[in-house]
Amino acid sequence: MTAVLCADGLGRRYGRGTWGLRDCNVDVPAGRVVALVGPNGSGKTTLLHLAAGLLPPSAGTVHIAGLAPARQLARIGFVAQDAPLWPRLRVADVLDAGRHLNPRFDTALAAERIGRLDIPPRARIHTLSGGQRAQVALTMVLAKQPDLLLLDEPLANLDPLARRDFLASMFAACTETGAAVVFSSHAVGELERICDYLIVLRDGRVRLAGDIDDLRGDHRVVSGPAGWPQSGGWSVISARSTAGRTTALVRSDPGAVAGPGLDESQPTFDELVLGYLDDARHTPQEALA
Amino acid sequence: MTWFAWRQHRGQALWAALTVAALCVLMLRVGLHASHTLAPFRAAGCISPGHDPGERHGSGCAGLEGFGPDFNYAIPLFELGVPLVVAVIGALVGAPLVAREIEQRTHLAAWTQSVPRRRWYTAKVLTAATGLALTGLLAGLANDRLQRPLTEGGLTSSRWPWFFSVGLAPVGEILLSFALALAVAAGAWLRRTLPAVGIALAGFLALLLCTGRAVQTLTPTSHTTGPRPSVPRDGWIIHGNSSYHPASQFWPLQVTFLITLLVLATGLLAFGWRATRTRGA
Repeated sequence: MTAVLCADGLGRRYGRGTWGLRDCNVDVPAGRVVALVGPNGSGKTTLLHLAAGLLPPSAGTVHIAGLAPARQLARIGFVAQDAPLWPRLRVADVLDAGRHLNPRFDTALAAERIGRLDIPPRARIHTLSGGQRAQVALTMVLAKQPDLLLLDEPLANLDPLARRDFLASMFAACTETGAAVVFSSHAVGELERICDYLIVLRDGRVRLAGDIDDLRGDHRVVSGPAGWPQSGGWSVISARSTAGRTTALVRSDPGAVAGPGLDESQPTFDELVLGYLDDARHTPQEALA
Repeated sequence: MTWFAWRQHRGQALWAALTVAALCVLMLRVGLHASHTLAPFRAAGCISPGHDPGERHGSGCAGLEGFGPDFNYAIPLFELGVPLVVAVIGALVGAPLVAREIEQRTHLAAWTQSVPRRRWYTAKVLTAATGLALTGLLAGLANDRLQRPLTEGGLTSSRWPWFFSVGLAPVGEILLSFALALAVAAGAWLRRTLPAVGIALAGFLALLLCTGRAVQTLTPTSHTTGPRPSVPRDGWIIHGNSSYHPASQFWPLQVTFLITLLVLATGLLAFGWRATRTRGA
C-alpha cells in the first residue's frame, strides 16, 4: 500500500512563535476519500497548502507519491477556500487555461460538466454565484485528472442540492480514476456517506487519523451515572454530563468491562468526530495519550 | 503559459497601446506641422546643418524667426511627456502583475496548475516586458521624428532631456518603471496597486536622475581647447563650457544608457521573483 500523501513530522510556523500545524504524521493511502475535520484555526488550510506545494514546511516533510509537492503539480488538484478564479475571465477562458497549463487536461470532460451544470461558458467568472464558481473550480481540477484532490471547504458555498451533486461527482470521479481526495469541511453530518478516512485536527495537531471503520471499531460510547469514568481503567477521550448522567467517548479496552449501570455502543461518525473535537476542553491531558 | 499571460493581460495591453498610439499621433502631427512650416524656408536655403537658422538672412527667410515661438511648447511637452507617459504605463502594468493575483487569491489557482511557479513568473514578466519594450520603442521613434524638424528650425533645448526622450531611452525607462513597480508591489510592502505605482514612480525618477548623471559623466567626453572654447551646436555640454559629448556619441551613449537601465530592471525583477518564490499562500 503506497501513500499518495505522506506527512512526516510536518510543521509550519507563522511569524515567530505560532505554529499553524505541528508534528503532523499522516499517511493517506491511494484512492481514499479523506475528511479533514477541525474547528477554525486548527490547521486544516495550512495542511492542505503544504500538501499542494503552496507553502514550504518549517519542519518535517510532506511527499506526494514519493516526491515534493512542487515536483508533482500535475498530479495534484487543488481548490482553495471560496474557489478563487480570475474574475474578469470567461468560464471558457478559464477552462482553456486549464488545457494550456495541464498536460493531462480532459477538455471534453470539462465542457460536458459545465454544460450539465447549466453554467454559461461565455459568462465572466465575477458574474457567477459562489456555488457556480466552486463548480467551475472543481471542473478544472477534475479535468486535470490528478491522483490527489485537495479541496479546502468545497461545500461552503453550495446549497444542499449542489452539495449532493458535488459530493456525488467527486465520488464518481475518484472511484473511476482511483484518485484520493482530501477535503476539509465543517459539515460533519454530510461527510459520513462518502468518506472512508478521517483526520481530526485541533490546535495545529493531528488528534485522530485513520480508516473510519477501524476507528469506530476502536472506540465506544459509554454512558452511566455521573462521574463513572473516574473509576476503572477507561481511556476517556471526552465526556459530557447532562441530567445526572455522564456520556463519554472512550478507546476500546478489552480489560475494561462495562459494569452495572453502564450502557455501551459503537460511536457513530458524528460522535467520533465531535468527541475528538471536544477533548481539549473536557478531559485531562493524560487521557489523550 | 504565454497564452494565458496574454489572455489575462490583453485588456491592459489594449489601453497601454491606445495611450501610446494617441501620444504618437499627437507627436507626428506636431512634427509634420513643423516640417510643413519649414518647407518654404528649406527651399529658400535659409536652413543648413550646423548653423543657427537666424544666421542667414535672405529674401525668402522673413518669418523664420516666428517658428521658435510657434513651436516652443512642443519641446518641454514631449521631452518630459514621453518619459512620464512611458513610466506611468510601465508602473501601471508592473504593479498589479503579481500583486493583484495575490490580492484576489487567484495565485492559489495559478500556482497549483501543472506549470512551475518560476515559469508562471517568467512568462508573465516576459510577455509584459516585450509589449512594453515595443511601446517604448514606438514612443522613442515617434518623438525622434517629431524633434528633428524642431531642431532644424533652431529650437534647441538643453539637450539632456531630449536625449532621455528619444531613440532607445524610452525602452529602458518603461522597463525600469515596470520592474520597479512589480518589485515594490510583489515585495508585499504595498499590496495595493495605486500606492505601489506612486512609490514606483518616485523611485523611478530618482533612479533615472542617478543613471542619467552617471552616463553623462562616466562615459568619455571631449574637451574644447583654446582661448575661446566653443562646443559644437549639436554636442551635449557636461559642465562648464569645455567638456562635452559630440553628436557622434549619440548612439553609444543611448546604448550605454539602455544597458544601465536594463541591468537595474533585471535586478528588480529578480527581487520580484524572490518575493514571489518565498511567498506563502
